[in-house]
Amino acid sequence: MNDGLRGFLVLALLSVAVSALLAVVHDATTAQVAANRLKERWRVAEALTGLPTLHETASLPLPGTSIELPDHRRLIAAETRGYGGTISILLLVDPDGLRGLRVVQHHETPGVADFIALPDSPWMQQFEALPLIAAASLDTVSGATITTRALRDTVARLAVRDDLPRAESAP
Amino acid sequence: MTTSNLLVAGITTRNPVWIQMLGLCPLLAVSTSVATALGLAMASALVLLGSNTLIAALRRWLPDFARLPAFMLLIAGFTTLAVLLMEAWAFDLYTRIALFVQIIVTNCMILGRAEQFASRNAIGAAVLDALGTAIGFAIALVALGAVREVIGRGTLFAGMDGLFGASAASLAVTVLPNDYRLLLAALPPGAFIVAGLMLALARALTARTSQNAGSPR
Repeated sequence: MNDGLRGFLVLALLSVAVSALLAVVHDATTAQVAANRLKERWRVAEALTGLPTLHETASLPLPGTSIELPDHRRLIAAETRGYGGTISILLLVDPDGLRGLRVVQHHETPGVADFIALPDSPWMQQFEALPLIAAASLDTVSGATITTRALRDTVARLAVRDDLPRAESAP
Repeated sequence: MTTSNLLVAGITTRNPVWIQMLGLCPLLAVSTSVATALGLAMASALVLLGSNTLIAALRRWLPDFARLPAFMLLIAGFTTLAVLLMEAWAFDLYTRIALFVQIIVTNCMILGRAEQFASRNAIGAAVLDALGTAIGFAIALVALGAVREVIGRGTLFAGMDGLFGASAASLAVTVLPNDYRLLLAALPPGAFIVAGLMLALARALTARTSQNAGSPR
């Protein structure tokens, strides 16, 4: 057998073998990964709402829906498209407006994502107490424009929905 | 080289970090604590062992032109494997260092061992060489992680539960008072400073021990 054919065959067999191995491992880990992600969502939701036993009494809202919490508060789940894919977020609102916003999962550029993924980043801090209607007028971060705009616009879109609490006027 | 020499060389005279200065990007980025350093070291060891073994086994069937593609295929395959395993069973750690585990695929330390050693030696020797290199990398990484964790945050072995399960949480030691933090050591400049000091120390030691200072390879 000449070198060309042999090299081709070895590479082809190797590709098949590596793909098969990865497919098997991917299959075997999918359930565990999904469980990990769900646990992470609960951790974020419970930290955001300050209700450490929330998972015993409620189920997490699906994207685009919300659940009622004590004290007229609501936990809203939403998804939006960022620079690298879907950004999954949780919002806490009460009758006065937004009380908190957390990113649960994202695929943004590492480093750039810190603006939205770290709850104590100054840009995210703005959402800690914000009349929903005021969200649309927030500035985006240059260098992370697409990422921060996706988040701001999602919050702004929620502000015009009738079933959500709205402040009387912007500050 | 004898078998024990192969193993020891990877740690000392051929240490990937201190002597060959390879794999520095993930080293500097991930060495903020012992737990993250050990996570990357274990993932690198898996990729190194897997790729070295298979490359040594396949070396007679690989014509020259197919060598590099085959190396990359194997290294990428094992790296993906490490990422999948980590995502499933060390999720906390995964969220912190996944990016740097993914770029193991471009780590010149691993391609270097594949090209320089595994593709020219028998399986046994290639396994030993991979083990030695992996241990050498792990020692350098964990040493840097330990120094930066103690200086930067005053703790040692914090967050090991992310790697070895909940029982490992008790390994955490508070070395310095609770409110102690020296941010410089935890941030990237600290990585360069501490790594530079360690490299200088390694150079000083090798200069003293090897009088016939030949090529470090």
